[in-house]
Amino acid sequence: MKIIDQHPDPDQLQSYLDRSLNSSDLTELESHLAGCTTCQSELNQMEVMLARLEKLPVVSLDKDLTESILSQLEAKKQSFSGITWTLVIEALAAGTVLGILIPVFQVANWFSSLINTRQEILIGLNIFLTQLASSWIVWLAQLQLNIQSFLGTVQVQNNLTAGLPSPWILVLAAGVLGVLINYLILRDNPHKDHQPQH
Amino acid sequence: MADSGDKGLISRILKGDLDAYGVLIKEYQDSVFKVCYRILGIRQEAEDLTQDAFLRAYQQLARYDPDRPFGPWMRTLAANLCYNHLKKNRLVRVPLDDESDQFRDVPSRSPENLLLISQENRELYQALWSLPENQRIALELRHFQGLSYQEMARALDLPLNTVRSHLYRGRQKLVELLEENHENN
Repeated sequence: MKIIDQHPDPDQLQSYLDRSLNSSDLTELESHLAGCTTCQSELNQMEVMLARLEKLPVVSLDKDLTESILSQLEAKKQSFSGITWTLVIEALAAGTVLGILIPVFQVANWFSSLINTRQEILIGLNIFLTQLASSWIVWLAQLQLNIQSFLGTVQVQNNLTAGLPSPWILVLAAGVLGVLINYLILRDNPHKDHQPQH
Repeated sequence: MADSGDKGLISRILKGDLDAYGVLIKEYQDSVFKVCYRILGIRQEAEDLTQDAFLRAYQQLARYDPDRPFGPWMRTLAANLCYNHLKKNRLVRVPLDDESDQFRDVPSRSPENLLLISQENRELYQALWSLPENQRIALELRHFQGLSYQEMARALDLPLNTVRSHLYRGRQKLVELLEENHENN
């Protein structure tokens, strides 16, 4: 049925209001409008409303926000460098502690007095390596989040943002690494140490 | 295309020059505020979102195409931010019958602003603010920013037909609200 015989659908009225109907549809719609007071009235109301909308006055900004915005950007920049230094100091401290404690334990021969079966050594090593890997992965995830934040607020270079993995991938990697370490260390089944001798 | 002045400023900002960003903020803050105010209807909120929009724009500047004008990009970003803010906080502006109560849901609007707006425009504002956020943002982008349907769909990350539907319903609803208001008076 031709548009001239029935009310136009909403899409056609929209297109008419937006002046985006093609010439044949426009002719048909205008023919319909010429004989349809309902559609004429609807369109007229819309056009009046849109004209009012476009003339709507708006209040202006009564203060300058420049300083406030720039100081927020500066604060983010400083906060990033503070977090980064904290992470670096934490990493150095952890390295120092490990670097001191392990030789001290070895010199004092505490390892062998604390743990002396193969099973105990493997379990201890497993816990230590898993903890170490998890800590470093969490540290890396945190650092990566900070790098993203830094790139977003301070530096806006495209090439620096490329290639950084999501923190969720790092967390998943930590899980996989933990499982792998468990597998490698315990694959020989340490329980056999305690199996009765025949 | 961004005018040559803006282009030069953006290039300086990308090299880390914050003062250049200050110049850009001074140039566009009023037009961005107007967008936020039309969508939110509360001066303080509009100022806050204007600031957020410039902070967000700074983060996203590396993705901005300098061959396109900066103003519309910035205002669309602000409109989108306001839209998400409304959605997140589920803020609804309820149209009220009693004129004395008209702005009770927007207490931070100052009396001087009300005096500056005529009764007729006040009704229109009230009707606009009482629309669902998706319809209000569609009207803002189409009628105040002059975006095409494709540009609106891209800005809002919505299908083209959804955008058309929001705009149509928004126009219809606005007419109905103004009619109702007219009949009540």
